[in-house]
Amino acid sequence: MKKGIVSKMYPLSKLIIALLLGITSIVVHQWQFGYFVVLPVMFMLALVDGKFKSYSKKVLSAMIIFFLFIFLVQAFFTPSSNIIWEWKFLKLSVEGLDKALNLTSTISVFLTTLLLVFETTNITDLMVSLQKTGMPNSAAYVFLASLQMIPEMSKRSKVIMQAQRARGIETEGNMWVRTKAFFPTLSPLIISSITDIGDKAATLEARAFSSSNPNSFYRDLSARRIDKILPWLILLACVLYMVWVFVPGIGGM
Amino acid sequence: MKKYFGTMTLILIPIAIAVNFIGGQLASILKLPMYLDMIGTILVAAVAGPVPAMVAGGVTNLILGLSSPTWIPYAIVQIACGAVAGYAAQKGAFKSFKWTALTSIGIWAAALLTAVPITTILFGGIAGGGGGSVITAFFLTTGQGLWESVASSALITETVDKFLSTFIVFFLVRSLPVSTLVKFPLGKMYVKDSE
Amino acid sequence: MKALEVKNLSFKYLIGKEKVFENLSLSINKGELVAIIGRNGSGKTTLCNLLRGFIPHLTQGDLEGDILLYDDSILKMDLSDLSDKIGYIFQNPFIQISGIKETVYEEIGFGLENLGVPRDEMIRRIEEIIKLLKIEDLKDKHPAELSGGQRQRVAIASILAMDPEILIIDEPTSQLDPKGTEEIFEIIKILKEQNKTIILVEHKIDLIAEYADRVILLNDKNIVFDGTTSEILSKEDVMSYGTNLPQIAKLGIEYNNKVEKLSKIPSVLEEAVEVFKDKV
Repeated sequence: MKKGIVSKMYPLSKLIIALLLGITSIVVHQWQFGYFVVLPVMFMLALVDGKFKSYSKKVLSAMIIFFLFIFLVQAFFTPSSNIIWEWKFLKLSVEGLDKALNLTSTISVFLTTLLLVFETTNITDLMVSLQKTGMPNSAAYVFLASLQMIPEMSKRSKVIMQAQRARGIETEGNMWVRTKAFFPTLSPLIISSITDIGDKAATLEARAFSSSNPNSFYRDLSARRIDKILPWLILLACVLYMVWVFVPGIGGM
Repeated sequence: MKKYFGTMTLILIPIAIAVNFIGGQLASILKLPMYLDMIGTILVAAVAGPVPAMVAGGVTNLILGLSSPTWIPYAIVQIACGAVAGYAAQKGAFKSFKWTALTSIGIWAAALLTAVPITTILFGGIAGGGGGSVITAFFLTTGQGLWESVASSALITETVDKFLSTFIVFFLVRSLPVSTLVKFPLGKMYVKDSE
Repeated sequence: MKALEVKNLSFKYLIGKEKVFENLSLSINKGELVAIIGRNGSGKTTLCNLLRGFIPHLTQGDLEGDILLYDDSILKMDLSDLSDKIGYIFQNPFIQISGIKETVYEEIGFGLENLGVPRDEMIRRIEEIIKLLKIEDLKDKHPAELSGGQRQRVAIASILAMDPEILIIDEPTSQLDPKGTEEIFEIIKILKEQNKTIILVEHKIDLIAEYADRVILLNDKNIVFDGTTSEILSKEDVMSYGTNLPQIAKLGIEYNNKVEKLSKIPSVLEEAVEVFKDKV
């Protein structure tokens, strides 16, 4: 399968760009940046990369209800004298609306950029790119092992729960009954996993896990010229934008 | 440097992270009004001390963040709770019932002191999409300010949650085989205790 | 030439009440396939762990004496630095994956990455091992989705990729079906042909009779018998230490005791043919 332009990018460069945009949105505090610049660009990139459907599903499901709540709380409950609409205890204010817009705009920058990074990046590749910049082996291990461990343990927990049900442990009923079902389901799983750690440690050491040699990598990742330049270009753009916003006489506020 | 902890502790961390996930998942399958998503973190704290527990807690939320990035700031909550639990464990807190109870209060306080500001400042009072938000909204309609509303909402959900999680760990440590327990930095503490 | 040497070893686990070994000495020569037998709890796995340095580096205990790898003390060496010298295959196939790789191919490369083997060399060695163990069909699969037998072969491949001269194989087939067992012994045969030094713990005594050069019987904190395979596996006494003998040896012993004296108690088929050919 051919990789899209975002998927092809060096993982670390993508992550840096995402964080640069996030920081910029916090600093400039203009809701237009999130809603009119970053959000449309990210959706466009997802489209170009051929990931539009799964990406937009993730973004929307993360945003809609969350943002609705924020708007409700901020727009109606921010103390203000500038009320534009009122119904019983609900008072919609200009300041509240402005605050909600700014807040959700910043959140949307982080959400849309990071989700695009994770959608278009293999996590092992991301780890390799971080390891190449000096992140310790053990950090990559913790991350990657967790990602494999979670679905595996989840599968086992469901098996155990069924077995416990078959043995007559109630998993439905009042809250006390359900709370009591929690421990016998979780504890065998935890105890057996921890008991295996001794052998797992030996397994890893048998593969030179704590070797003092510097690691080499099977995944042949390297940053292309564009991957090295682009974060700097974005940084420059962000700085220029901030100057435009903050320096009197140049523009903005 | 390739390693900051012993290999045993290092392998424990991903298991603990998975336990955090499975705990949360089970709590929702069993429809419990709690998160129970910190049992792994507290368990690492009990057998390996604060730093590994902070790593386990922090990475839990980073991984959650891969699918919903709004969870990432709450890594601070896990890190703070891991630190408190780990420090208490180093002092031997998990050896006695009474001190475990006090530790659970410490963890609870750490969770509140970190979660409330994050929810209020970063997310305008709405907890990363979690169940507490409805309760927050309720308190708001009663005329309380945003900070008070978020705090009262968190009080209700956090209290039972942290108490239960800490005691589950108290019993788990006692169910682990001695031969495994002694391989962890703080493990010997619990073996002497049982003799 | 001595590859491994155990000198006056005494050992007790931290949480154990009794010593596992008392003043045990042993040397293993380069290129030998040594089988370790003995009843459950006689210390076979403990000895393997000591020879690889897992004890005392990972599991602590009270240890006296010394263990040498070509004159260097394993007790003083770094655990991971031993990886390309002594390989270790475990009994349980399910814990033997790194847990962080997405394909068998990368799983085999894990040890090489840790050793810092350059990428070209790494690929060359992975390909070589895959071919040697005939696991081409597995290389793109996820390590967590393999059967027990497949996992055991991948575990062996992952260790062999690091090209250790000595291999410790602890009951590799105890959790496998007959087909899986056969495949593992096929591999052991290949390794023997490559002149690797192999220390094998195995309960299937007929397989030991067929493959081992030398047999060591452990009992009560020490070695009871140590000699060539045909010498040890024809001793009737072996059975009094809770270990079985090959069917052929049992037949020979019965014949020898009840019918007529044999020139030699056979332990494998060829020997039996030799011994019995004048009798019939």
